Amino acid sequence: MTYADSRVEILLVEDNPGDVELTRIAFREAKVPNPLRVVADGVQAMAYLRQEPPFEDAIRPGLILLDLNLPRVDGREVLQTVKSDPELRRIPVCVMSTSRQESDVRRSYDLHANSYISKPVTIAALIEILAQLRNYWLRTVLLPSA
Amino acid sequence: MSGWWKLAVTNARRHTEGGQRSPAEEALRKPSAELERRVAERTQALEEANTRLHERERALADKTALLESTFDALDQGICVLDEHQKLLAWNKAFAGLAMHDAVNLRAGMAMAELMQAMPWVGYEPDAGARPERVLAPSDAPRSDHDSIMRACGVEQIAANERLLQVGRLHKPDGGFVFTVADVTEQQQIFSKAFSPAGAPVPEPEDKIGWLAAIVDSSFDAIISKKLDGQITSWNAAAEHIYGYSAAEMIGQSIEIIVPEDRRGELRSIHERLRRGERVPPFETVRLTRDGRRIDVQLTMSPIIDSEGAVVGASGIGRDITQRQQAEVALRDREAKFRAVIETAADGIIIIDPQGTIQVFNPASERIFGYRPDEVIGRKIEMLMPPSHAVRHDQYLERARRTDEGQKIVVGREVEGLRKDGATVPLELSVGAARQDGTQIFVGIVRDISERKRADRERQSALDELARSNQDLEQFADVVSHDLQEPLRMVSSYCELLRRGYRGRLDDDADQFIDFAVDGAQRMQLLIQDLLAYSRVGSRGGAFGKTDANHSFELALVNLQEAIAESQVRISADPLPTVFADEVQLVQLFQNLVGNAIKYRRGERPEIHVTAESRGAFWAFAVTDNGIGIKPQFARSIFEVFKRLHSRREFPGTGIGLAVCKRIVERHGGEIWLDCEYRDGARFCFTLPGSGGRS
Repeated sequence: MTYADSRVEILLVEDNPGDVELTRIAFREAKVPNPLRVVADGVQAMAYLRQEPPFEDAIRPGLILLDLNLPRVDGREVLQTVKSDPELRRIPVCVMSTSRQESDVRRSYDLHANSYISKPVTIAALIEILAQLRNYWLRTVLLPSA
Repeated sequence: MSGWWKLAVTNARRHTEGGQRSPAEEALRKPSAELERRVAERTQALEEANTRLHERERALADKTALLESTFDALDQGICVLDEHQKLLAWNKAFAGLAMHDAVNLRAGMAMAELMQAMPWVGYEPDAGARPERVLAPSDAPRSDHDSIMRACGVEQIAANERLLQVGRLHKPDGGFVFTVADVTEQQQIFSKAFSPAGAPVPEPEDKIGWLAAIVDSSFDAIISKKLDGQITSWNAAAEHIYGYSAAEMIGQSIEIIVPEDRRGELRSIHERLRRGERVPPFETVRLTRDGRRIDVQLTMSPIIDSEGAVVGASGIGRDITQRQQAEVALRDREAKFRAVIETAADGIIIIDPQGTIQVFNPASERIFGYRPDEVIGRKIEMLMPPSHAVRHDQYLERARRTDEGQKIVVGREVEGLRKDGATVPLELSVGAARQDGTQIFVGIVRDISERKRADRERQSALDELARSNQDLEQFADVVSHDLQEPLRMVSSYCELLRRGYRGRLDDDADQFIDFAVDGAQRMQLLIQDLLAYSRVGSRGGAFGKTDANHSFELALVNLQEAIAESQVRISADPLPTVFADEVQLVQLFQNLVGNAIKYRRGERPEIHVTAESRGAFWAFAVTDNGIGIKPQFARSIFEVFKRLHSRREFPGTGIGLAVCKRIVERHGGEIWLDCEYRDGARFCFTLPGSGGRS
């Protein structure tokens, strides 16, 4: 792992503080060094990605972890907006949802989600999944430079 | 004879040519002269016979010519039919009297055609008695007369002032003579036919002769009597009908042929005649000589003398016994028919080809709310909503072309219009029939409001069920997402507690945390199973031809870990192709085989799958030699979350068999535990064959 890889930021779009905390713990346990930025809804997410106030200084993330059920603008809409924005659409988006419903899965991929992950029940499984995600998207695959 | 004569002449010639005569020739001379004399005698006799023959021929020709001219000169029309009822001969008067101008009579013409050309006779080919039959030579004379009368309709004589009489030809083969007479004058003098004493009123000779002929040839009994009942004349038909001859009856009282119970009636009629009243024809009963009571129709008229006084009565009687019997039979039939119509639970409506209502039974009254008198004679369209009435004309048109006895409409659903303006759903059947030679249509209507309402209720119950299923589905979705979210928080943070604080709190705390983690995880499973159960109905795939062998193999692949671990021997007979949702069939096998593995017993656990045809369905059986199930649980095991064992003995939520039941029922089949089988458990289920659901 290079220093540059480790500086790539990950954006978590999640409204539930419990989930945010679990994700932070899981990242720590998995020894993922990348900075984790968190926004709580779709409006904030888009502002962050477009570096609009109050996120003028935001750095464009290298990976987005997106919950589907969000207040205000929900995850599906964020996904659609990101994937239809030429500036943003190359950023890998991993949908993370409690829902295992076929319709949610299908719709997400139809909107060009890069992967769909069902939130695991145990913390151990969460740690494992997040480690895999980070390794895959930030180390294994080659992404275009911003 | 002529040969002999020639020989004699030749011999004579030879004499003259010879010249010289031998003594032998001389000897022959005598007998030869004798021969010649005899020949001459015979020749003369022949000539005389010839002359006589000629005279006779001439006389015959004269006679034929006389007959023919007489035949043609007669003012009475005559025609002769042979035994096949084909026209043989006719005279000029027949053509003039009987026929319409346009008709050309020709020899060999069929009787039916002849009758057609005599419309005044009132003969109808379809009206029952066919002249071909009634005139058949084998018929008995009496019934012949009756039948001929009916067929020829002499009732119309008065109106047409022509009389048609039918007689038999006196030939071995039979045949008939029709005579047609202009009876205008006879009709006019008919009422003056009888004088008080029974002697004819002085009239020209021929007229009286005619009159006598008519009276005598009448098929009706014609009797005249004085007002005290003393009979003064008695015609041939009276003899025939009542069995008494004229000689026996003239001078006797009419009461001989009047039964006791009708004498009052006769006296009152005589009384009315005496007062000069006219008495319309009436039907009554008379006695015959052999004691039979016969039904007669009587026409009584007063006999008035030259001073205008009523001196007697004439009666024309017709034997209508047969007609009466036919009428009784007809009334019986009519009564039966009525009874059927009156008591039928279905509405019966009969219309004519114009759509006019003829019959409207009580059931129709109940259906439509009209009384019969409000609809009979009116158009059937009044019982239809306007939209139907428009189309009805076309139906009727098509119906008119339909043959008798055929069903035109069978069980069509239509709407009827009630008197109160409401429409009523009906099931209609229509048949064509014939009545008095005209077509009629019999409509049978059944009020299907009840059935319709039941249908609607059933449909709304089904809709309700579908809605509630959908609600359940939505609820399941909510459960799946919104309940799992907080549940995941509980289980995750309990786990974090365990990771971070195990051994740092006391022993109780460690155990409590373990219980919390376990409970949360079990709840997670329950929610997932419940979701799976609810989705059998709504999230199932389409049905198609599915090879059960393949589905079974897939189920075993999914269970391979458990199979390997348990060392179960699994076998199956060749399985059929069924009409099923393959994913669910795999699930079904997987749950049943999975259960059989889970509840195995002993050293050699075995599972065997079979299938047998059962009509349109296949009955499958999954049999194991495991711990079995007590019969009292045979039904409850299929309930959601029903468990017979503790989680410690056998893990699981108890949803497996409930899912199986839902899957089988979605396919229209049944699932049950075979309680007869005691060496383990045997689950049976049915699925539709590959021909699809019947």
